[in-house]
Amino acid sequence: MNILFLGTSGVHHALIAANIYLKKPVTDFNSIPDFANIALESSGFPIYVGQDKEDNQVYSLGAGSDIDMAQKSIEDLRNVLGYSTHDLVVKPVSVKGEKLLTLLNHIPASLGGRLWHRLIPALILKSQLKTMYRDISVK
Amino acid sequence: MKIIYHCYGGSHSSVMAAALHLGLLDKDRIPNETDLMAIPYFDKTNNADFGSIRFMGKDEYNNEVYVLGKKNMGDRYSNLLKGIAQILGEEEQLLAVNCMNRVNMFMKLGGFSSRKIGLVSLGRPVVVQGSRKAFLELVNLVEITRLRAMQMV
Repeated sequence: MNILFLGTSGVHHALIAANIYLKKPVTDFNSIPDFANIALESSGFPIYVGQDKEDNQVYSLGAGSDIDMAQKSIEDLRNVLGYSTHDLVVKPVSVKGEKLLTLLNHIPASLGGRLWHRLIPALILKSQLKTMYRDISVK
Repeated sequence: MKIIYHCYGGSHSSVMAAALHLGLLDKDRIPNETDLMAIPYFDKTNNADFGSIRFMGKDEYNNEVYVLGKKNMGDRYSNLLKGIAQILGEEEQLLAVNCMNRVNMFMKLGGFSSRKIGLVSLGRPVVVQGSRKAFLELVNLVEITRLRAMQMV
């Protein structure tokens, strides 16, 4: 099965959620592969994060400001291609300030990319780690 | 193969492209308002339809043709759809076509008035006018798409 963590940004909270799910360390965001990788985010493709103990493939995906719309499209496409929830499960990830993260992703790297794409998102997400751990364990 | 035409609302350009692909519109004659309004979904969608992949029909090669409204997500949405197909091992079975580069200002203004703010009597004549202006552009897009679909088989 494939598990897709879907957020407004696929290289911030959705990526952290996928790593938490895989029981990988997330306290130091800089050590998370592809964290704040805006080039990868802007491609629109899902990001492979790893494989869990049941051999499920885990991905992270950013879908901009309308997560509900993206989830609907992904689930419709899964059905159109003849697959079901046994093959692909979408897990939406929501955090406070998620729309701001989407906006920050649009700021060009030449205007201080590290600040907008890495430091401010890290500040927004750091305080919500406990909540994310709790939400993922429920999922 | 599944061919998905997508645009902002999934109500005008993508629906016209799908109709052309399926032969519901004659590619050699610019359609009038009656022709356009006879197409399923043309200027008939609402906010709940955003993100829904809607079936329009099958072409002569048995390809299934769909339409989708994806707001202002641009080409990124094509990649999102392709990425999901890749995950499922079906990337050769999907062709996602962004129609937004064939949309003119009349279609945007008319579509916004008719679908977004509900001023149908004001917006529909404008979107119909814009659709007629964009018709040959959409014919070209569909021809390219049909060739791409044939190359992928």
